Formats: sequence, C-alpha cells, structure tokens
Amino acid sequence: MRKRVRNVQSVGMAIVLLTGLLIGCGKSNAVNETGDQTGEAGANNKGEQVESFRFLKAPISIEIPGQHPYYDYVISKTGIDAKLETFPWNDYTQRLQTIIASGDIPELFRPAGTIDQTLITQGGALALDDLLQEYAPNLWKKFPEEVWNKVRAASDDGKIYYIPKYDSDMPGRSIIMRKDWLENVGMEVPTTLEEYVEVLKAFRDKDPNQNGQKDELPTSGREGARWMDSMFGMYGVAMFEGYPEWQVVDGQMMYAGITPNMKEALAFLHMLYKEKLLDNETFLNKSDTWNAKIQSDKVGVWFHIPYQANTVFDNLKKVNPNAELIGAPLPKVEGYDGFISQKPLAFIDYMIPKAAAEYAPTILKYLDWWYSEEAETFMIYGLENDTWVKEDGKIKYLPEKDTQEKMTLRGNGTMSALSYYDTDFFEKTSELLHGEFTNVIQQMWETARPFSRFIESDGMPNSVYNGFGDIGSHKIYQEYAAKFIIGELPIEKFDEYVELWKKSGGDEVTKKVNEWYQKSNQ
Amino acid sequence: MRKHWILYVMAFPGLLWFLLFRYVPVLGSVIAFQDFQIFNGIGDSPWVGFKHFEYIFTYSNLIDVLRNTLLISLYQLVFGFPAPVILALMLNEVRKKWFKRSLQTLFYLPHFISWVIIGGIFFELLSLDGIVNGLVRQFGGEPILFMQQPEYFRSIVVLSSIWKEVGWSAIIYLAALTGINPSLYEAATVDGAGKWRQLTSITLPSLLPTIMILLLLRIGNFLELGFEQIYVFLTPLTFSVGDILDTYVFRAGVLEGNYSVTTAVGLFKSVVGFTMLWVGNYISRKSTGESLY
Repeated sequence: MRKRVRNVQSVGMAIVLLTGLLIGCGKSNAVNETGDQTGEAGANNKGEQVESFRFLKAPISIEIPGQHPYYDYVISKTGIDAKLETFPWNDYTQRLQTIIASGDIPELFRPAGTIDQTLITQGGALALDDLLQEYAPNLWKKFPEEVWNKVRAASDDGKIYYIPKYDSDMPGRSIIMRKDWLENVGMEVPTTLEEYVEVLKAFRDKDPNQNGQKDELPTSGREGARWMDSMFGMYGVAMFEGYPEWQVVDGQMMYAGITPNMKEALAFLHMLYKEKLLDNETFLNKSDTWNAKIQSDKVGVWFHIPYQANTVFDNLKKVNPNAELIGAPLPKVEGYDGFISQKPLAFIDYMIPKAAAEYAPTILKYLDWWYSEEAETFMIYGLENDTWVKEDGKIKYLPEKDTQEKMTLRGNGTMSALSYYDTDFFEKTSELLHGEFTNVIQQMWETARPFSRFIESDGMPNSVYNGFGDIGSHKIYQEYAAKFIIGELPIEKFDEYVELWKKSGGDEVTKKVNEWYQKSNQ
Repeated sequence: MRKHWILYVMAFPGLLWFLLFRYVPVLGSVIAFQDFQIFNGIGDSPWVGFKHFEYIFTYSNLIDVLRNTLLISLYQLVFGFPAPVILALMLNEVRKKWFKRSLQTLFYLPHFISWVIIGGIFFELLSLDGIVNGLVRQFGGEPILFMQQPEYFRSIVVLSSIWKEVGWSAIIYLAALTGINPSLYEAATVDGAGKWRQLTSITLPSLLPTIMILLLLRIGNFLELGFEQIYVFLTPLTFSVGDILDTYVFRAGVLEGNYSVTTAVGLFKSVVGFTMLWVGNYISRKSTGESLY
C-alpha cells in the first residue's frame, strides 16, 4: 500500500504534464463559427424596412465584404437583404452538419454530401411545389419540366425539395492538349485512337518541352484513376470526374465500373501505363500534385474544365513562354460509341429547411429576381455608370473600370443566386473573365460539344447507395481499376472483380438505381 | 473537508469540466442504439437495438479491416512506444545544455505539423523524383513507387508517426528524468558503477512508473490509430493493407451522415479499449506493482 502511494507521487509530475497535453491538444474547435448574422430586419440606406434572411452558399473564393454598393443595389431592387455565409470545401459537409445539429441552420442553404437526402427523408426540408409557382414564376419557367421531374424523383413522396443547379448545353469538360508540343513533334491533333497513341509516344520520346531532359509525362491522371474520363469515354464508359456513373445497357441501368466497355478501357490504360505513356505516379497524384505537373510544363494531354483552363495557362506561361493550349476531339475507337459524360444536374443548389417556412416567400422572391433581365445585366456587367454605360440604348462595357474582385462578388457563386446556366451565359462571362484566352476556351467548347452527352444517371440522389459505403464511395472500383491498370492483376480477372462488386452490395444498389430510373422517366 | 475547503474550491472547476465535457457526452452514446435523426434529436429518434452493430459486424471485409487495425496498432506499440523512451534517455546523456535544448526542439517540431502536410512531404520524398528514389538510383536500383506498394505501407505509417511524435512524447520522460535524485547517481559513481550500470539500475527503475502509466494509457487507445494519418496516406492500391476501422467508418458512417453507425463503432472501440486497459492494469499490478488505479 505504501508503495502504491509513493508511486502515485512520483508519477504525479508526469500525469500533470500528460493532462496538460490532453487538454491542450485534445479538443479542437468543433462548434459553430457562423458569426452573428440573424434573420432580423434591417433598414436600407433610404431608411425603408427591408426583409432579410441568412443564405449559406457554396465556398466563396473571396472575402465577403461587409458593405458594398452591390448589396445596396440588390436590396434596392428586391427589398430583401440576403446575408451571405460560407464554409470552405474541405470541411463544408461537416460544418453544415454541425450547424444543422445545433439548430442554427440558415434559412436558405446549399446542401452537400448526403445532407439533402437526410433532410428530405427526415422531414426537415420544405416542399416547394406550390411556393415556387406562386413566388418564383421566372425561376419556375426557366427550368424545363424534365428537370423538375428529376427533382421530384429524388424524394419518396414525389415533391420538389430543392432547386437544382443546372448547367445546360455547355460542354463542361474537354481533352486539353499542348498545342506547342504538337508543333514541336510535328504532329496534328489526333482524331483516332491510333493517332492518339502515336502522339503520346512522340510526347514521350521527342522532348516536346525542349529542355533536353526526358521528363515528359504524355498524359496523367489522379489518385483513384480520376480525371481521365476521356480515355474511358472513348470506349463508351460513362465517367464523370473520374467516378463511374450509371448507364443504360440492354435496357437496364448498369454501373459503368463493371461494363464490358470498362474492361476494354482498363486494358487500354494498362498498355499506356506499361509503355510509360500514362504518368506512372497517377495513382499517387493528389489534385495539387497533378496540377503542379501540368503547370510545370511536364504533361502533354489532360482532361479538365475549359472554363478554368486560364489559370493553368497563366501559370504555364511563366514556366514556358511558348506554351499554347488546344482542345482536342475525343479519339475515335473502332467499334465503340464514345462520348464525354455531362451532368447538368450534378449539384444541388439550394434548400429551405422546414423550420424556415415563414421565410419561404421572401427567399423565393429574392431568388426569382436573379432570373430577370436586369439581374443578368448586373451579374455580367456590373452596375450602370460604374462598369458599363448606356450608348444608343445598348450596353457599353468598360473593362478598365472593372476588377476581378467585382466580377467575383457579383458573379456566379458569390452574390448571384442564379442556378440555371446556358451556353450563352458562359460565353458572355468568359469574354469578361478570360480576356484573349476566351478564344481558346471557346475552341475547346466547340471541339468537345459534339462528343458531350447527358448521361442517364444525372440527377440521381445518392441515397441509392445508403448502407453500401464501399459501392457509394467507389472503393471497390478504385482499388481494382488501379490494380488492373498498373498490371498487378491481369485484366482476365475482371469478371472476378465484377462478382465481388455485385456481392458487396452492387446488386442491391443496381436494383434501387433502376427503380429510380423508372420513376424519373415516367 | 472544512480544513481543506480552499482545495475543494480550486478543484471544483476542474471537476465540473470533466462532468460537462467528459461524462455528459458519454450519454450521447445511446444513439448507437437508435436510428438517429438530426432533426428529431435523441428524444424522438426511433430505437433499433443492435442493428448498427450487426451492420458493422456483417461487413464482408471486416476481417481485413480488423487485421489491418490490429497489426498497425501492434507495430505502433512495439516500435513506436519505446522510441521516445530511448530518445529521452539519449538526450539525458547530452552534457552541453544548448545542444540538448536545440536537439529537443528539432525533435518535437514535427508534432506541430498537421498530417496533411506530413503526408504531402512523404509523398514527395518517396515519389519517383524524390530523395529516396534518388538514392535508389545512385546505387543502381530501379525506382520504386513506395506509396503504392502494399508491402511498404505499414512501415511508412509507423515510421512517419514515430518521426512526428517521438520528440513530443519524450518530453514527459525528460520531465520524469529530472525528478530523479542526483545523489543516487553520486552514490553509484562512488560505488564504481559505470554509465550503463547507472542506466539500468537507477534511471530505468525510476522511470518505470511513468513508462507503465503511459503504456497502460496507450493500450487503452489500442484501436485508436488516428484517422487523419491513415486517411492521408491511404490510396486505393493500399486499401488491402491500410483500410482500418476509422477509414471504414468514414465510408460507412460519416460520408452518409449516419451518426448512429459511427457512434456504434466508437462505442465498440471504447469497450475494447477499456477491457484492454483493465487487463493491462491488472497484469501490471501483479507483475510490476505499478498501476493506474
């Protein structure tokens, strides 16, 4: 007994220290930092009462200013003050879940992860069917009926619980090639698989970046075999940002990761990997390493978003002033109907929690304004007599008065609450945002458009995966696809992988996907 | 009680803290037995008994997941636990004070770097153009993609966590070392004991209580590998050796917003941890006489 007591004393110091450590670094800040905005009414600069609500948006790339003439403009037009809030992407879902759990949910918010389905099934979301038609007629009319049908099919009771984000027509993704590399190896933009492989080989062997070193990666992808959609798409596999989607095979929806076409695509990628035409570090590339490789003049062909290509281009120019980009068509593979997957309904824009039902008319009126002509002018050109003037009844844009900050603040993603985008809109903003580079972007769009196809699983709620995390997170597919491509498993084992996928819940998920597909196409 | 009232008053905020932030949240574990609904809260969510435990334990890859968790944890214990003790003993022998201080600082600095960054550093070091493959090439070998080879994964995990935490964990031992009465060493020198004899007969026995306590606490966290590190290092090619309970829970529970599943796993880990702690404590008390309680 005495010994025990002495021991306790002698380790006392250690315990005190240890407790200090536990307290010091154990708990990180988890709870809300939503700020102090509340839904109370304020007054605008004319002293009139305006209604207001809290509006949680997807991550915003700039610091949201506290005051700005833009706010005053929108308030003067709508009589409504939307208090913007946001979280960064890396913990967006968690933060949103935290504020929902603590009852501090904004009146209008962008869901993420499975939150939309959680709210719908647990009765936390407000049904918008009648409200939309009454308070947001322009918004309601802007979306085609098929879109609302898909939204209805995402809930069991067939009601509209959210406003989708809809990117129509514009081909969002494209094959991007180094035009200067092509010139340096004396080749044309490839149009068939054979030509494509020849170009990759030339990129590997003929030092297209002309630095005297054999450091070129003809093409590269990311961890989990992602962002190589074009090389799957050539074989008619529906891939979206590197995740297998669902497509109709023999009249039934089938997971693109297990189709016979997938097998061919994996065999092709294995060949590229073995020949070192595909970056052998593909399966270790995080998005930033992948970007760094492209922007440091190492990669010849990649697959990405033309609308964002200007940042890549600007950085590339600093490394290699001769760098030029060009959009390439999807190479034709004999016997396959190739395409680039497009999901206009890939994201959900906004939901209103049931608890905020009393705000719904205000919110919908606010959203509706963004579908008006004056709102479009504002989003694209800014304020009259600030960044544009009227000349002969037409808008004359004054680029020298405009700044990147103003464009971002008023534009898509920050203040703008528009959820419907068409080619026309992107072309107009691209001209403003991208300067001369807009020609290259438009060329990429034009090249990719004939190959872009809306895929059948667009708008499918992720609740079809409930209970099958390994299917929903594409874990099984990613593990096996990587093994087939690096050659750790021979492609002959593909059928075994398919069996494993089906047994691990794939069959059940397939059933649910087909049920949804029936419902959404009624 | 009356005599030491001031001590009780001083202890009160601490006790309250434990009660509020350590014991009250334990009650939240009941959602492991519910289909927890975020809008209805604990009060109105339906009770489902052991459904979530069944769901976890019928997972087809559970054996792999458990094996990976136990193996990595075992390696962490066998290689990771003694490392700070050895470092502390070595630092303790350094005579120049400034040198010891700066070494110590260098060793514990990585503790403050987040796993995301350390992951980036390791991916870079072990990449095809990284330092390690540079060395491999120097010696005429073929470069190896270490991060995607299943056979290297666990070693990399254990080594990196030793590198990150060894200096920080050594601080406790260094503190305990300063508590050893110097007259013991003087007496031993007079008796003709060399450095090694002093280490085995004075330093280690004096350190033993601290080591045992920390070992027992470590054993109590046997299944807690830390999600962050594995998540950062894991790629689809290393799933077979690196998919642990935490990453599984991330897929099955967190990504789906299924709090009941995550809580069920947390509860399971706590029960295992508590059992191991209790057994370890019992063995320790019987064999070395040291124990937590």
